[in-house]
Parts: sequence; C-alpha cells; structure tokens
Amino acid sequence: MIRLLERVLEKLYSDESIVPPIMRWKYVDVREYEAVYRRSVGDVAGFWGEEAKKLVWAKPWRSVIEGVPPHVRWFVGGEISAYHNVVERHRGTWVWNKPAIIWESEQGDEEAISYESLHNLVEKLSSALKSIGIGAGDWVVFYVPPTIESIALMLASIRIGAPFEAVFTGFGFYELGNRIASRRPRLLVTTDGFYRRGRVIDTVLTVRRAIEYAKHRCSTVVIERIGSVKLMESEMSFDSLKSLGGERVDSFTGPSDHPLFGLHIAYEDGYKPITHGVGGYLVQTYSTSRWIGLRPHDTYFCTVWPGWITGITYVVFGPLMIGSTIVLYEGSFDYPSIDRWWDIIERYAVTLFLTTGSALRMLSRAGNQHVKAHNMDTLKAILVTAEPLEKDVWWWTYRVVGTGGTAMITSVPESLSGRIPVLNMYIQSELATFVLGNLINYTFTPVVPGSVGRPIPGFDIDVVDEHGNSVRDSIGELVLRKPWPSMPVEAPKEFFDSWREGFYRTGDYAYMKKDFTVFVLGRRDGVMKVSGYRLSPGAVENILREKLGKNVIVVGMPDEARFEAPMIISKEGLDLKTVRNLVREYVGAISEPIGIKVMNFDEKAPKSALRLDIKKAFWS
Amino acid sequence: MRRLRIGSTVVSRDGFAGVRIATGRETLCIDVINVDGCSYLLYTHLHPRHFPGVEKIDIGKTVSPSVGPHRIGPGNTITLGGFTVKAVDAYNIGEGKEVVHPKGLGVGYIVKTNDITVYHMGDTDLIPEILDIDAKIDILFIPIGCKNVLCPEEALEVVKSLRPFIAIPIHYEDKSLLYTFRDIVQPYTQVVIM
Repeated sequence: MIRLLERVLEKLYSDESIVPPIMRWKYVDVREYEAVYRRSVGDVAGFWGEEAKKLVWAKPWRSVIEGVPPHVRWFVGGEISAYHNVVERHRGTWVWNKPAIIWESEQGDEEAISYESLHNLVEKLSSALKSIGIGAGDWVVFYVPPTIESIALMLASIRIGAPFEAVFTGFGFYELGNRIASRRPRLLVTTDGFYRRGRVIDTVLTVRRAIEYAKHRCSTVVIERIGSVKLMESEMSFDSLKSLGGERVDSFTGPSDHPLFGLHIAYEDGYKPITHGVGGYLVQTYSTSRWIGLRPHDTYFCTVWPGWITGITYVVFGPLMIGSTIVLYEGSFDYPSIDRWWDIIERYAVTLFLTTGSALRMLSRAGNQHVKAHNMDTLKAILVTAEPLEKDVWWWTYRVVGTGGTAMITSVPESLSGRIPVLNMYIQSELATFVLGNLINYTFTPVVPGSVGRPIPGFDIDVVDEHGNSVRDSIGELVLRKPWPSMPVEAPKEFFDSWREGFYRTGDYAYMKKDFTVFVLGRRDGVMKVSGYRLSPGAVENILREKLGKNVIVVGMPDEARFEAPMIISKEGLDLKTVRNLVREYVGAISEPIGIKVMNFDEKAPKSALRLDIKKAFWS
Repeated sequence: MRRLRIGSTVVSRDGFAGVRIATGRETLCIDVINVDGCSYLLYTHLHPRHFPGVEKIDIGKTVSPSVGPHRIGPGNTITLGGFTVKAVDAYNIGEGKEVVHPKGLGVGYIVKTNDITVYHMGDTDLIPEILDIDAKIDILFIPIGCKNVLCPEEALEVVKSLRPFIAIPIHYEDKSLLYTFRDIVQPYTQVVIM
C-alpha cells in the first residue's frame, strides 16, 4: 500500500513555498501561524466560544461543549434562529439591497435577486409551506439543479425549522428512493427538468420513480424550468405553492442541536445519513467562510452543487451569511464550449472562484487558449476542494489562470508569473467545513503547491501511524484529536466507530511535514473519490447483485482526469453496456464504471478486504 | 441574445447601444435598430448606430426628442402601457472632447416597470443632472466607450453616485475599456457584461 501512496505523493509533494504577489502584504510566517494555531487547539472550547459570539443567539449557551467524544453537544442551552443568521441579519445594512444570487442557465438565461427580494420570497414560501402542513422537524428532500427557487425553498424550510436534504441530480432513482425511505420527508422538491449539455435531464420522472420505489407518500413541489411536463395530482407547481400565501410566520428559533440539513454520505457498503445541527454548524460555517476570503463585496462562483457538502456550506449558507453575491450556474462546464466557466467569471466580475481538482485537471488539458480568451482580472483567489490537486495542475492554475491579463507591479502576463493564490482545501461531510487550507483572511502562510495547506485554527489535526502515534514526514492517517463544533447530531455507526484511541479517523491517508503542511493522498478504505465525489462501491455492487444476480467488487482505479474511476471486478464476463445502463439508471451517472475486469476472488472473504487487495494490485 | 430577469422584468442588449425591456406581453425598446417584437420604440437621439431611419420603424410607436408623434425632452414623462418613461438630460460638455451631442440633441430614459427601474443613459458625458437623479436605479445601461460618451473613470463617478443594483456597460468597441470599467466599478455595484 505504501508504494502506491508514495506514487500519489510523488505527484503532489513539493518543497516550494510561494507567496502570490497580491498576498505579499499580508502573509504570515510559519512561526506566527504556529502560535495562533497552537493557542486555538490548546483551548478548543474557548476558541469556538469566541467565534460563536459572532452569531446572533436568541438565548446564550450555558456551556460551549458537554459530553465525551464522539458523543458531545456544542453550545448547550443556546437557542438560535438559523434563518436569521443566514439572511435576516443583513436587514438594515447595505447588503440588503445588493444582489444575493445571480443565476445562469445553460441556455444563457440570467436572473438576479437582491437580499431583500430573496427574503420576501422566502417569507412567502415559508408561510406557504406552513399552510400545507410542513413544520419544525419535518424533512424536505430536494432533487434539483441550483436555481434561485430551489435555494429559496431550502431557506424557507430552515425558516420554519424543517431540515432539508439536497440529493445530487447525478444520482439515479434508486439512490434517491433510498434517501426518501430514510428521511421520510413531508415534502419533495424537484424541477420539471433542466438542461445539461443541451439535453433535458428529466428530474421529475426520476422523483416519481423514486417515490414509487420508496413506497412513501408525500407531496411534491415542481419548479417549472422546462414547462413541458403535466403535473400529477400529488404534485404542485412552485408558482401554485407561492400563491398559497398564508399567515406570516416568524423565523423558527430552536435549540443549538436542532437539525438543519442532512446528507447521505458514502461508506463502503452504501450511502448513510448524517445530519448537522444549527448552532455548531453555523458557527463553523460563518468563521471558515470569512477566513477563506469571502466578504460582502465579493462576487463568488462555486461550481460544486448543493447535494455535496461544499455546495451546501459554501453556496447555501456561508456566502449568504457573509452577504456576498453568489453566481449559480445550472449547466455543464463544457457547454457550448469548454471555456464556459471562464466566460462566467469574466461576465460577472467574479472575485472568488471555488472548484474541484478534477475540473482543473480537465480544463488544463483543453489548452491555455481557452483561458487566454477571457479577462479574469477581477479574481482575487481560486479555491479548490474535494480531492488531491497535483502540483502540475496547481502550477497550471496559478500561472495560466491566476496571472491575469493586466500587467501589475509584481506580475507579468506574458511570462505567466502568477498573481493570485490557488489554494487546495480539505473538507469532509462529517466535518461540514474546510478544516485544512490556507486562509486569505486569517493565517495566510506561503503556499505549498500540491498540498492542502496547514490545519485551520480550531481544528486539532494530526497524522498518525497505525498505533495512533503522530508521524511527520511520513505517511499516516489524517485524524482530528478534538471534537469540532459541527459534529453531526445524527450519524451512522461507522462515524462513531471512527472515534478510536481518542481521536476521529477521517479515512484519508495523508503526509504531514514538520512545518504543518499536509498532503492528502486519498482514501484508506474502499470508498471512491471520483471527480471529487465521494462514492460508495457497495451501492454499485448491490444493484448488480439485485438486478443481474452477480456478485462483483467495485474498486476505484487510478484515473488521470478524475483521480479515481469505478471498475467492476467480476469472476465472469459481463456486458459493459448492460452494466453501465443499470448503474446509470439506478445508482446514477456519476457511478458509471469505466470497465469490467475478469478476475477470480474468494466470494466468502469480506468485501472491504477484497477491495483493498485489488486496489493495491491495480494501483501499484 | 442574453436576457437578464429581475422580478417579472427581462432586459437584454440589442446591438451597440440598444436595449429591450420586456414585461409580460409588452417590450419597450431603446435605440434598437432591428425593431421586430418591439411594442414601443424609444430613441435617445438619431445618430446611425442608435436609429435605423424613419423608413424602417413604425413611427406611430416611436418616442424621441425629434421624430415621431411623441416628442419628448428632459423632464417630460410619458406612460406607455405598463411602462412609465421619464426623459433626462444626456449631452457632451466639450471639455477636451468634441461636442457631438450638444445639449438639447438627445436624452436618456428612466423607465419604470411594475417592479424595477431601468436607466438608459443615452450618449452623454458626466453631467451634473445625472448626479442629481434621486431615483433608485435597479439596472443602469451605461455608455463607457469614451468616444463622445463617458470614459470608464467618468462612468465610475456615475456608478458611485447612483449605486445601481446592476450596471450593464454599452456603447463601446475597445474591450480594454470594458475591462477597466468592470474592474474599477465592481466594488460599487454588480457589473454584468451582456
């Protein structure tokens, strides 16, 4: 295993330290960083207690943290309104009249809404939700592309205390159905479709099949994007919901651990639910959103959709809490041409861009001319999430995208000298926010290409060997030694089992230098990282067993573009087309396998061990 | 053609300085050369890149300072279906530049729909009358091409004064002016390039 990890590390590791020209006035050296960091993790409760004071609480907490990890509660006794802290806190400030969201469809339709208008819409929708019987604690499940209407409905849900789960539209009806069966929502929200690469994705049909599969009765609200679908009796259009009106309702205020949103996250044998609570989550989200560089004057474009943790924390919540303007793009990055994102950055004067390593890998291969065709001088930073970012890709992004087109005192466009920071960050659904990464608005240290920077203050991060001992300049497992405010208020057994020997095991291999720089190397288990998406091999195995009666193993194969790609390991030959169609239809297009390898394996052996053995064989 | 919706109003650019403002079934067009689909035709002045010639328009639908049944000047207001239109000053002041648009030749338009206010500035320099406008502007169509209209630095003063919700640059050929405008103005508004 070490050999394959060393091969990954080789693509990441760098001893270089880069201070991008626009950060020369505010970077700190490692000693200064270390002092701030050690102080924060020396008193985690005190540190986060101070951060929590930056939110508006209806009732202050009596203790910051209680319990023994992993069974801890944060801000105990505190009461808080999520919606007030996300949107309503801006009332009476200049932010109220600025754009909250600018949305763009793949076809080029654009829509803008101010914070005030968004609030008015949310107020109307929350009254309407109440009038159809949705209340505090009822789950609302979304199967939507990012639109103003879908974000408004998510906010309307939390305004009445109803937690939501956004399911990525790349999942098929079977996986959506499993989530419906698990959450038992009172309401589902979808669109009548949306365009992707010029083709209509029929979301409402997937929802109908998922409801049937889950055998769960609930209402569905359909946001009419295409306008060609005849609604069924149990379905209501978004406009009809909006027109229901009803009495104005106050923002729900509840205990700190009231459920805010949930996700089903990949474990080896399938997807399982976790839920984040209001107080701790919003404290962590507000702090890290400020630290990564978001400010009210920013126009921010994140390519990760709500449905993944980055898209929830750094689209739905963080930027709105700050008062930034969010650019939401509904379509594909390469439609009608591969420069679509660069075009969006140019046209909306985007200042902060957040995307994935896989996307940058693909864009870098398309050639520099697509970047150079656009002026992106408004960018002040590029953030990268979800997976390791090879130093080659980092350098391409820094030099080709990050230099800009206008000569500045310390940057020269012709020589691609680099100007703005390119920062890979580390996040995990269980952790809720970035916990590793260089912070533009806090402890900005020189950037080490290929790394995920250094631990963010407040998160006690370590890399340990198999005995739990800290290791430096050596490969180990990434762990958190102390609880974090947004510890899930609901999680599967696997999460609690990850707390062993006094710390939380993230499941990721990592390499930490003595100067705190961390390189994350990928999963230590069979869970796959495909284009930055954390995918379960078990979900694919289960559907092939159920539908074809075949016992297969799914392994993440090294992939130049997507980091990993699912490969089917079968004892006998299978028709790849049939397998792909089944996986696409049931599990979702994002889990589609790249191929089938015929190989003998012991069917009685535990699948997790088999996956690791096969992974080792292929990766080395 | 890109279209930007705010509430129930949809705006789009059409040509060099042309703009369409649509609400439901009505479309008000300003300085549009191809007039297909326009319910009302407004012209800020009659220079070639703004006005297609009387033979190409329905004169009965036309509002302008010098042609059509509805002659309009600064300070005048007219109601056209669901639109309320106010004409405002637009002219060159001549300081260091040629006066191609003398005072009285043209106008700008402030158009109110049922939910937003759109301001098409016409061809103008930075003039005191603009800085005195007290209406809340949601969408500002602002000329930035420097030649006989605002330069980006002057456009910045307009934006700082009016603080529009969104600013959309028009009337430019040199893209470097576009990027200068975008980069210096963005802190004071949201720029959208259409």
